[in-house]
Amino acid sequence: MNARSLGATRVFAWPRAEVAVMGAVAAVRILHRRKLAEVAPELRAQVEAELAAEHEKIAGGIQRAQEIGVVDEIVEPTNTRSALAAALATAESTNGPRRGHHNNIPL
Amino acid sequence: MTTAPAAPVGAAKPVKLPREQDPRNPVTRLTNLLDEGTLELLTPDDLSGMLAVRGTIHGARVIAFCSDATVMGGAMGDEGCDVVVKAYQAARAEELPIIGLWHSGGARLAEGVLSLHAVGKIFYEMTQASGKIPQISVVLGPAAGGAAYGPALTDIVILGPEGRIFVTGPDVVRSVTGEDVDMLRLGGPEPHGRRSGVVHITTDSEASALAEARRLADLFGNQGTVSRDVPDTDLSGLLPESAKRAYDVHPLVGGVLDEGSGVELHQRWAPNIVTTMGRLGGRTIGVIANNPSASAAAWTRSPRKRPRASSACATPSAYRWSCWSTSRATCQASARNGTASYDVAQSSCTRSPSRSYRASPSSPARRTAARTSP
Repeated sequence: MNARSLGATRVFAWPRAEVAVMGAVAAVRILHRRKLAEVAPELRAQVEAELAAEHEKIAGGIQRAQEIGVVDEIVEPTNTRSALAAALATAESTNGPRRGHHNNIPL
Repeated sequence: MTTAPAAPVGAAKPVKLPREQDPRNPVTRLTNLLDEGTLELLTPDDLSGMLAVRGTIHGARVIAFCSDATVMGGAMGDEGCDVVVKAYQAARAEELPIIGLWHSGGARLAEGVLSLHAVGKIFYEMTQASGKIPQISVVLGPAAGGAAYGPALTDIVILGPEGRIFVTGPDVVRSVTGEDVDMLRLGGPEPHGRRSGVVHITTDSEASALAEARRLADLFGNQGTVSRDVPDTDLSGLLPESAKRAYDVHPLVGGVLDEGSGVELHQRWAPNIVTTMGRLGGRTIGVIANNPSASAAAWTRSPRKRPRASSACATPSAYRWSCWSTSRATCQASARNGTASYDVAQSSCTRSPSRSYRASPSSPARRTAARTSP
């Protein structure tokens, strides 16, 4: 919906948020298709889970997102309203209220 | 897709061609797009998954980029996305049309959040460039995820015969929804050419997809000036005798435009409105016409089609466009009066620095004309 790359002023994530191209299991099924095909069917689920855990470590998730500045802050659901209000207040005092301007795509 | 030599006995996959000979090599594809001998690298030809170049099409300067489907199926990582961002920045700075050739699995999975963020930067550039430079996308192979959203943000999307545009592939669709669907039904010419309207032009070969991109780049890049010296022809014969009879507006559009100059957009989507780009007296124009032979020109999906064509036509001061529309009423009135001067009703569409007309409703006169069409 919005993201740092698209110009978001501030990006929050809840602690359990997942940030990824797709789920880890779906990703390893594509990345390791050949390897998984060679594994005996009864072992496949286990190997998938191992690969998925490894993939999660490499690909990151919200910790990695925070490291590269895509997520600014991890907030608890209980603090979310105040965090949002603070972000809006800061944005408004920095840039002033902004209305009526947007760049949009051909809809 | 490739005409690879026969696979050795026992091998599951056909032999992979060396990158230089692979028809999916971005240098090959971009060379086929541009005027001969004009390709000039904007970024190094490396393994980033994308390549950006400059060159000319029918003599007009353009910026172009292409997925490198020879590397990880054209998937885009941080470096590859940076190539596209550079291409956009060059095109914006020089006010040139930009053409993207797509064949990509989307964001590189292994790079995780980093590649997602990088793909987001491409979208940002595309939205910022919208309405300022013409953006043409040619989808030549499967384009998934970020590679599907990207082209959809641009002014014109051309689909090659192998082009498929989808958010996630059949495997993920199956595992998430349980629905068994193939790439063709998910993102081929039928869903996008007729039902979604994402694709403007479908083609039956890669060469013709590139040829269509060249025709449009010529219309955008070489807009010309109107010559008053256009030969008149009697177009009244293209309308039926009775005003109550439905007729196909295509011959009329073709008759008004310079011969053979028209490129119809969205031929099969919302066919009750015809949107065509072409030339009149040498000058590039956009035509928006009701088509009484399709659903009696009642507007269904077309309320989205018309502004979309207008906005493509309205690309920037550097690319000034004039649009005019034929409504059934105005065409017939002038034709019956024996004049060939069709009502050039759409002067409001002539590009001015503001794009605000896009958000405004169509003029009352035109809406009435459309509604009262039998």
